[in-house]
This record gives sequence, structure tokens and C-alpha cells, in this order.
Amino acid sequence: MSLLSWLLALAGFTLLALAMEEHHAWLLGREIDRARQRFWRGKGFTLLALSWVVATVGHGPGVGTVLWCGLLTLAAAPLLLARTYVKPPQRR
Amino acid sequence: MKGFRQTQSSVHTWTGLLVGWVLFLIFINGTVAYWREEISHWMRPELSAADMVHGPADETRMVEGAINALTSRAPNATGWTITLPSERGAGAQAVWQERDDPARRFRWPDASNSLWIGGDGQPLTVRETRGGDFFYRVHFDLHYMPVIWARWLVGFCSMFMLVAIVTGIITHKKIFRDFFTFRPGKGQRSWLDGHNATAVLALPFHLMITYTGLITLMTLYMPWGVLANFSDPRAIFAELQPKVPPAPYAATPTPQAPIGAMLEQARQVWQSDNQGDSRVGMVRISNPGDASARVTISRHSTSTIAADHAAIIFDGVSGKALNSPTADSAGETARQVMIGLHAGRFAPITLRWFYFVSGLAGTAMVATGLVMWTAKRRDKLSDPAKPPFGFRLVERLNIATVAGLPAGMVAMFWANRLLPVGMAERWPAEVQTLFITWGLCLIHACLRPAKRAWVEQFGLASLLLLGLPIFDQMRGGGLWQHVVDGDWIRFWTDIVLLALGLLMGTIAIKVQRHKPRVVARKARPNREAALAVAGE
Repeated sequence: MSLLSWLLALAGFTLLALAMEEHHAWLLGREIDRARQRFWRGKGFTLLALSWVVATVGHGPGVGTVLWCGLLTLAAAPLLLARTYVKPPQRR
Repeated sequence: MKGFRQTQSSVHTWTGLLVGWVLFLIFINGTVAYWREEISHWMRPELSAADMVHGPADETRMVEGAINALTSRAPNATGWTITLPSERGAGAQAVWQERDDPARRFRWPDASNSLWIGGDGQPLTVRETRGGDFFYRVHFDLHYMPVIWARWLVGFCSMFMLVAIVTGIITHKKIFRDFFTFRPGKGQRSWLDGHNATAVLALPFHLMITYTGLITLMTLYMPWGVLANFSDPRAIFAELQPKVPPAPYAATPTPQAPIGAMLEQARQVWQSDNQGDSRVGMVRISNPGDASARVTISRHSTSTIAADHAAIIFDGVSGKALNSPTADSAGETARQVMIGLHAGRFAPITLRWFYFVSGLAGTAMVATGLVMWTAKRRDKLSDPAKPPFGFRLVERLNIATVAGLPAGMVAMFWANRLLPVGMAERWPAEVQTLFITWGLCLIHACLRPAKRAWVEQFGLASLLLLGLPIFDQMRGGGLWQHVVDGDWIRFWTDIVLLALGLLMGTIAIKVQRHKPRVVARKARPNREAALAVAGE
């Protein structure tokens, strides 16, 4: 359950990052338009919420919420490191 | 007139700097204290996996063994306290208070007022150490000063921390725009990125830990709510305990009821409430061996987030329960949830790791904030060869705190291994090793050029950390032996020591190789830079 919750948080943060102009441009090499930005952002937050639901189903509302906060940190950190140290895909 | 954000920035900078060094000490020790029991276990190599509790039978055997040992060692004590190990430690510790001790002052368990009981119920000779408890205590009691002063000082710094967090969120308006962004090798910009990343990624933790930290000592900081209802502030804590009629010392030796039956009865009561496990945490016996003996059996505190007061008190002679555990009031439960969230005693292993990692992020946040103060001002120095006194002071204190304190903490681990096992005043000597090493680091930081001092102190911390598991290995109690014994607590402690040693070593090498940028280039706006990187 923790792993599933973490994966959902990771996916959620990835979408949130892709909804940001700078990171979108870095990964996909093109600018993002408003409508798509809003779309990705909505999906991203939905996945984060889902991640919380999974954590609370697995560990109860109290411990689950605390665990989820920790999971958020551990899901966002690898994205930050990847953004810093991974080379973006080369485009023609 | 300065804008709102600008004033918040000044508040953030100066509140942070003023209390930063103390906050670093609080954060790093509090973080280490999440492994309090594991460290205690590591620091007592005389205890083995055979001294762990695996079920009710082990609990009963160890408590009975402790009572036998205490009956011959301290029959006239006013009280005995027997603490059973959790699943994160081994061995039961039995502490007593002498009746004829005129001072009646509190003292930490040492060789003269405590003994250890192994898994077979027999006394064991264990080296005298505070273990992980020291790191826990020092993070709010500090050391070498009265605890009340220390707690006020820590509370003052925590309040500033809360101010720094809130003003920090307002100041760095870009923290959410810079989410997932870290730009290394860009001088001051990188420090700010690092400071923001460690702050934002664990922001829920930082807010929670600072706020709940203040709550744990709220009756000290804001006593008026209590004073409005109780003439003696301590009365509220008596009120929170289970109420049974008092039993004055009768001075009449009387045969005592068997403890096994009381333990069994307590377990049954706890089992029926479905609130986690029903393990026994602590057994307290007041006026042992006397007609007025009372036995308090407390539940193990790792069942729920809120540590409850589910203690059951027995008459020591008849063995009858004198109370049934009552549910806490809503207010008390709220307080206990706050304390539980802060201390994480309930946390299972995954969550404990999250706590530890978040704590490390907080430690790094304070450290990067401190370093940033100098990084920001170094470029603007009129004469970099002779910086003003204030700059030098902050720079040296930063070195001695951020690099020197960890080195001192590891030195305590070494003292734990190197000091003779039977030495008198052993735990104070261990603790002094920490502060002496730290003090030497401060002197060293003042004498050496700043960069050399950073490298040498991080290097020292790294070598000390890496050396510990190797030293244990050479003495025959190292990693391999832990695997053979199936002692995974010590195994992982050694692994974490090695990992932290590598981390410290990496930092030392990075600082060594660091070349300060000569000309500050004007950075291009982020998006354009990103597009350029992506090859558009």
C-alpha cells in the first residue's frame, strides 16, 4: 500500500511538473498552452489526492496521513534530482 | 518604504541567523533521536538478540528476574522502575530510588542506581551509557545548564523557527515556481535553491515539528490556562494520572502478590480495547516489599499516535487492580496526538525512515540557511582578504556548528567504544567527549582558513563515522557478526553510520574541489535557458 501510494504521488508530481512552463520546456522542448497546463495540473492534484486515499485505506486516517506527508517528500525529491542531474532527451 | 515582502525577507534573514546555530543543534540531535532506541542498543554491545522480547512469556520472565535482583540489591528503595525493551531494543533496565537518599534529587540511571536484566531473567553487566537517550534529551534540555533555562531557550528558538518558516514562505515567492528546481554550481543561487528545496519538499514536516515541539512544552511556556484552574501547576499532571487512594509508607514488610498474574490481567484489559498491541512497557513498584506497595503497569507506548495513560494500578499485597483505565478527555487526547506526532514513537519502520529523512532535510535547511548568510555577503565584501569581524564570526560559528557538531557527536560514539567498560562516571565522560571535540572544532575553525577548516572538519566527521563499523569489525563485533547473530538493528545502524560517513566525505571533497566563481554572470531567465538546453 505504501508503495502504491508512493507511485501515485510520484506520478502526480510528474504531471504537476509537466504543467510548469520551465519543466515542460526542459523535458518536451516546447511551450505549454494554458488549457493543457490546467489539464495536467488537475490530473496531478487528483493523483496526489488518490495517493492520500490509498495511504489512509492502508494505514488508517491518522497514521496514513502522516505517512502520506513523508511519501510526498520522498516522491518529489527524486524528480528534483532527475531534473538537476539527468540530461533531457535530445531533440532535432 | 519597503514592500511587505522585503520586510519579511529581513525578518527571515535575521531571525534565522540569530537562532540558527541552536536550531541546527536541536534539529540534528532530534533527527538522530528518531533512532534513539537503536542507538542505545548499538551502544550496549553486552546485550544481544537473546535479550529481546518476543512475547508475553519473555516480558514476565524479565520482570520477575528484575524484581528478584532488586529485592537483593535495593530492598529499602522507595520505588523500583522496570522498563522493558520495545521491538527496537534488548534487555530490561531496572532503576531504583534509595529511601535514605536525603537529597532525593533526580539522577540519570548509572551503575549505582540501576541494573540490567537479560532475556533469561538474570542480571547482566552492561556498560554505563546514556545511549540514544542523550541525543533525545539534549535536543530540548541542552547540557551544562539547568533544564528550565534550556527549555526556555529552546522554546525561544523554536518560536523564531516558526517565524522563519512563515516569513520564508512569503519571502521566497518563487518557492512554488521553483519547485523541482536545483541549479548547482551557481554560487549564491545554488545555496538558495538548496535551502528552498530542503524547506519546501518537507514543508509539512517542518511546520508540524516546530509547532508540535512548542506544544510539548506548552505548560511551561504558557502556564496561565493551568494556573487559572490549579494553584500548583504540577497538579494538572497528577490529575491526568489514574486516580487511586494514596498509600503512605507503612514500614511493615509484607509478602507480595506474584507479579505474573498482574501482568496477565493488564494484558487482558488492553486486549479488549482493540487499540493496537497489548505489550507491557513499564512496571513501577512504589514502597516495594511493604504493606503499602503499589504496582503500576503501563502499556507499551507504540500502539497509537497518542500515547495514552492506559496504566493499571494494583495493590502489591493483594494483587487486586485498583482502577480500570479511563479514556482521556478530548483536550488531553489532542495534546497527546501533538506529542505523538512530534516524537514519532508510534511510527513503524517505514514511517520512522520518513521522519529521519525529513529531519535530515530540516537539518540541511538550517545549515544551508546559515551558509547562505555568508555566501550572500562574500561577493559584496570590499576587501575579501580582510572581512569585517561580524562576517568572520558568523563564518567561524557556521563551520564549528555545521561541521564540528556532527564530528563531536560521532566522537561520543567512539568514547562509547573506547572508554573502559567498568569505569566510574562513565556516561558523563562519554558526553564530555562530545563537547570537548566540539570545542576543539571551534578553536580549529578560528585558527584555520575558512575553506581548509570546512574540509578538515567534514573530513574528520567522515573518517570517524567510517571508522566505527571497521573498528567494531576488527574487534569481532562488526557487520558480519551482526548478520550471524541476526541482529538487524545493529547491522542497519552500522550501515547508516557508513552511509553518513560517505555523505560527510563527499561534502568534504566537494568543498575541497570548489572554485569560487570570479565573475558573476547574469543568468538568463529560466524558461529561455531550459529551452536552450532542450535544443530549440
